Amino acid sequence: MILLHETFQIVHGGSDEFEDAYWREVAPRVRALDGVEPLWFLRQRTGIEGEFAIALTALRAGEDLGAYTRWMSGDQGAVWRAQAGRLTHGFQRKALMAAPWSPFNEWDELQPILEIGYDKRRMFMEDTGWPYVRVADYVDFQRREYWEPLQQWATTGAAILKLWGFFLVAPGTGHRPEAIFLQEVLDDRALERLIGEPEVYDPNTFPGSYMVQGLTYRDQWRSRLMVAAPPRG
Amino acid sequence: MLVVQEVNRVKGKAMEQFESMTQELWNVAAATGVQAAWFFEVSHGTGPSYCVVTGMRLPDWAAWESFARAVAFGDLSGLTEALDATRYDSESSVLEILSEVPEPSEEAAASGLWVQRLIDPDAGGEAAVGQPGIVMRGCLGARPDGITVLTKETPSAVLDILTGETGSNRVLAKAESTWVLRPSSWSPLR
Repeated sequence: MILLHETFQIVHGGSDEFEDAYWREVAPRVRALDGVEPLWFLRQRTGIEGEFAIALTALRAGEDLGAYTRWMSGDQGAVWRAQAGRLTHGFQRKALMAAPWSPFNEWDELQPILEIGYDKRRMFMEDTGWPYVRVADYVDFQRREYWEPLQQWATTGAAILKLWGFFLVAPGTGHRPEAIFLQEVLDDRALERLIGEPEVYDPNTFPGSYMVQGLTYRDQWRSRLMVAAPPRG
Repeated sequence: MLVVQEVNRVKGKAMEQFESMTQELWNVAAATGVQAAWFFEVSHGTGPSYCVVTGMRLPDWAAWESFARAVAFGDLSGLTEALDATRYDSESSVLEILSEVPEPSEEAAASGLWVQRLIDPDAGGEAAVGQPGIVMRGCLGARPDGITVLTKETPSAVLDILTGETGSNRVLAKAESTWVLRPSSWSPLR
C-alpha cells in the first residue's frame, strides 16, 4: 500500500468552500477508481500556517498511483483543479511508504480503519521529522524508543495517542530526509497538559528517554494538530 | 515513461563524492529498471551554489514503486544514505514524459546548456507538447499537475531568456520559473 499525502494551503476564509469541493468533486470520484480509497480529510482552521488541509488517500500499488495522477491532471480533474487553484496558495503531493514494522503496508488493513465512526470529534497529530543521521538509524530509533513503548502503554488502557503509522516520504515525491508519524489523539485532557505544561524530562524513563535521546537523531520537527472531517456522500 | 528528478543541495567539499555516489546508485538501480537521464549543475549566475539536478527515467509506475521501496527500506537504502552524507537535503518530483523531440538547430544541439521551464497547471503548458525538447507533466512533489519543459539552448539564447530581451515562444513565455542548467561531462543528457 502507498499513502498519498496532499497538503493544501488554503486562502484565508476558504476552508469551508474548499472542503465542500473536496467531498463533491474528489472523494466520490476517485473512490470509483480501482485501488484508490480516500481515507481522511484533516483540517486546521488557524495556526502558524494559517488555514490548511491534508487529504490522505490509500493506493493499493504504484499503478493505482499512476491512475490517480492521470485522473487529477486530466479532463476529469479539471473542475477540481480550477476550484482548488482559486482557494489555495500552495499545494504539495507526497507519497508515503510505511516502515516494515508499521501498519499501512497491506491493502487488507484498510477496511477496519474505514469502519471507525465519527460520533465524537476526531483529532489527529502529524509529526514530521528531518533527521541528521542515517535514515535507517532514525527509523530504528522511532521504532525502539517511541513505537514500541507506546504500543506497550496502549495495552494498559491508559494510552492518550493511537499510532496510526510511521512513514518515509518516497523518492520522487518531496523532501529527503523526511519521516512522518501519524497519530490520533484519544484523550483531549492529556493533550491540554502536553500543550500547556512545560515538562522536565527524566532521561531514564519514557517519555523522557525518547525526548533526550531524540536529539542524537534530529532537533527539527513539526507537529500539526488537525480535526478529521466526517466523510460526506 | 516517467522521470524522477531530484534537486540536491550538495555539500561543496563533497561534490566529487556526490558525483561518484550518484553514478554508483544509478548503476545498481539499473536492475530495478532505472535508466540514468541527466546530471546538471545550476549555472553560475542563475541560482544557488552546489545545486545539482539529477534525473532518472523509469518505464512505468510499477518500476517507480519497486525503485521507491528499494530506496526507502530495501536494497538501495544503503547507497542512498551514502549519497545523503554528501548533501544537506533534496527535493524531488515524479514527472511523466508527454513528448520528446530532438533539437533541430545544429547550434543549439552543440551547446552545453539546458533550460528547464516550469509552467503552472492549466496555464496552457500542454501546447508545448511536440515542440523540440522534453515536455513533462508533474505527478508528485512540489508542482503536481504543472508542465515542465526541458530544452537545449545556445548561450546567447539563454542570456536573452534571462534578460527577457527577446521572447521565447508564446508557450514557453508562460513559465513562472526558469532554471539554466549545465550538464556534467558524463551526464547522459548533454
